[in-house]
Amino acid sequence: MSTHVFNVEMTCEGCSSAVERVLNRLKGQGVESVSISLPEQKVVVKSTLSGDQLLDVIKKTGKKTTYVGIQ
Amino acid sequence: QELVAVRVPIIGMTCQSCVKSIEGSVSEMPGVHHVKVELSEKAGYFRYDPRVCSVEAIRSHIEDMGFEVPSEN
Repeated sequence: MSTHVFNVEMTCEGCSSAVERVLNRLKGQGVESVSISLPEQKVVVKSTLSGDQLLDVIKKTGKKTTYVGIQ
Repeated sequence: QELVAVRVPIIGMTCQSCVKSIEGSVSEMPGVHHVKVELSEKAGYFRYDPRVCSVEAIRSHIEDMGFEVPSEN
């Protein structure tokens, strides 16, 4: 279990809830918790999945995403 | 070849950037020829080539983007 940090280009409430929704769907399948800061454009995910797997899931939302690393 | 036109309800959009990201992403799908998302209607209008694409593919694509796509029946 590690805490992964991503920078995600989110411009509005709808964007952050979209990212939250795709990650929440993985709760119980490797994702334990998700916290999103719209002002900081940051998404923090506590998960057993790898950074790359999480990156793929977030990228599917169509938003520019970069992997910052493990906290 | 006759294109199929569908209307897909999309819940969770709040601004034009959500609309643009959906339109941009769905238009890249193979077989999709026409894309128009209406924020005010909370729905998207798509025309696609049924030999290559399907409404299910479009719906799951939008769901992967993090929006809710209630089924209309």
